[in-house]
Amino acid sequence: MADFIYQEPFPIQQDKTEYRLLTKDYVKVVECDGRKILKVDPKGLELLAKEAYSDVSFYLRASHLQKLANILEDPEATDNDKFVAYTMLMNQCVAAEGELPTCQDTGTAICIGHKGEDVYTGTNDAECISRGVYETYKERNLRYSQVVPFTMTEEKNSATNLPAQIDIYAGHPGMEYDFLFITKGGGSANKTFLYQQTKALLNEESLTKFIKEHILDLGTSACPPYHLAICIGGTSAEMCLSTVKKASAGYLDELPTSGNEGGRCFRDLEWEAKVEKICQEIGLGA
Amino acid sequence: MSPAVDIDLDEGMDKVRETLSKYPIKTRLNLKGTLVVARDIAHARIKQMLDEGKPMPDYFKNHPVYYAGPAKTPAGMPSGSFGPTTAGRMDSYVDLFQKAGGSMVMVAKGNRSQQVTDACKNNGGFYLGSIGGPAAILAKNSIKSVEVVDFEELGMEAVRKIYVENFPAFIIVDDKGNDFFADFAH
Repeated sequence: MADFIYQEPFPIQQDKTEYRLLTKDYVKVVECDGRKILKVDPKGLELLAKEAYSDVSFYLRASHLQKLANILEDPEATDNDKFVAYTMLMNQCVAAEGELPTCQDTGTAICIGHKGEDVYTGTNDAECISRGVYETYKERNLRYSQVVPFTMTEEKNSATNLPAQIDIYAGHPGMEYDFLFITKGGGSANKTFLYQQTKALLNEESLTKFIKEHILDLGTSACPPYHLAICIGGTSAEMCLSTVKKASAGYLDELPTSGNEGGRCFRDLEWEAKVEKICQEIGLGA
Repeated sequence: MSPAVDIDLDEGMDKVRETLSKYPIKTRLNLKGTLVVARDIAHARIKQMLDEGKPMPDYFKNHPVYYAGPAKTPAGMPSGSFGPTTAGRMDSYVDLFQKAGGSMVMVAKGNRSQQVTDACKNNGGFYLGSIGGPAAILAKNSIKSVEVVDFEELGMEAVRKIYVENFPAFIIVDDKGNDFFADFAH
C-alpha cells in the first residue's frame, strides 16, 4: 500500500480575479479563546449577494467583451457573424446603463461559498444570501424565472426568483470567506450533459471523435461566443458536473496543468487547444 | 454589408409568407410590425385547448410568434430586456399548430429538429432566427410597445403582443424544406 497523501482536489494556484471594494463595514476581528476570529455581520452577506447579482446581470467581464471584439477583426468571420458580434457589444453598452439587463433570462442564482473555520456569522448564511438575491430581483429590472412544483406535474412561478442554489463548504483553516456568484439561465443549464463511458474512450482517436460528435449535440441555441467546458473523471457523477460548471465560469482557470499521485484536478492545455480547433472546424458558436 | 430585406409583419400572414418565399435561407431581414409572444406554458395551454376541440386563438393565426419571456419593464420604457428563447423546446407543437392555422412564421433562436423543417414545407411555414443574447438593445431600439393579451397569470410566460421596428432576423427554415442549420446536424 502506498503512503497516505492528502491532496486538495482543486489546488487553484492564484486568484487573478479583478475585485472591487464594496465597503469596509460589516466585518471585524474579535478574539475568542486566544484565537483571532473574523466576525461578519449578516447584513454584510446580504449586501454582498445583492451587489454581486446586480453586477452579473448588467455587466460582462472585459475578457468576454474582448472575445466579441475579436470577431469583428476575424478575416474568416462572415458579414452575418460580424453583425451579430457588433449587436452583442452594443447590447452590453445598453445593459451597462443599469436599466435593461444583458439578457432577459436573468437566471437561477447560484452561490458557492468557502468559509474558513475562523469566520463567524452567527446566522444562517444561506438565508442571508437568499435575502440579497430577493432584494436584487425585486429592485432591479430582472426576471422571475423560477418555477416551483406543487405536485409531480403542476408548477407555478415563485414570483421572487427564489429558491437560489447555495452551496457553502467549510472546515478549512483561516479567516477567509470566498464566494463564486453565478446566474445560470435555463438555456445554458440545458446544455449540460453527462456521459458515462468506459476506459475504451481514453485514447486520442476515440476521444477526439467522441468530443466532436457531442459538441454537435450542443446545437446552435446558446448565445455567442460559446464558453465550452469539458471535464473527464472525478470521484462521482455530481462532482464531474459541478466541475464543468465552475470551469465554464472561469473559476478553475488557474489549476495546475498536470496530474499527480494525489489525483488533483488539472487543466490539459494541449487538449484545450485541440477542442478549440474542433470547434473552429465545425463552425458552431460564432 | 448588403442591406437587410424589409418585412412588414402587418401586411397579413399570406403576404408576409409570399414575401419570405422569394428569399433564400440565411437572408438577413429587418422586421417591422406586430408579433405575438408565447413560450412553453402558453404552448402547452393552447395545445390543451386544441385537444379539447376549441379553436386556435386568432392572435396565433394573425401574427408571427416570437418565443420569448421578458424581464421587468423599467419605469418610462416600453419594454424590459426581451431576447428570444431557445426554439427547440417548442418543436413538438409546430405541425399541430400550423395545421390549425397558427405558428406559420416563428421567430426565436437556435437550431430546430427535422419535424419543424417538414412541417414548414408541408404547411407553408417559416422559422426566422433572431440573434441569441442582445435582449437589452432589442428592448431599447426595436420593441416599441408590449401588451399582455392572454394567460396573464403566467407572469413572464403570459401571451403578449409587441410592436417592433428594425428587429433583426435571418431566414433559417423556409417553406421549401431548407434548413440553414442542417449542415451542423449529425
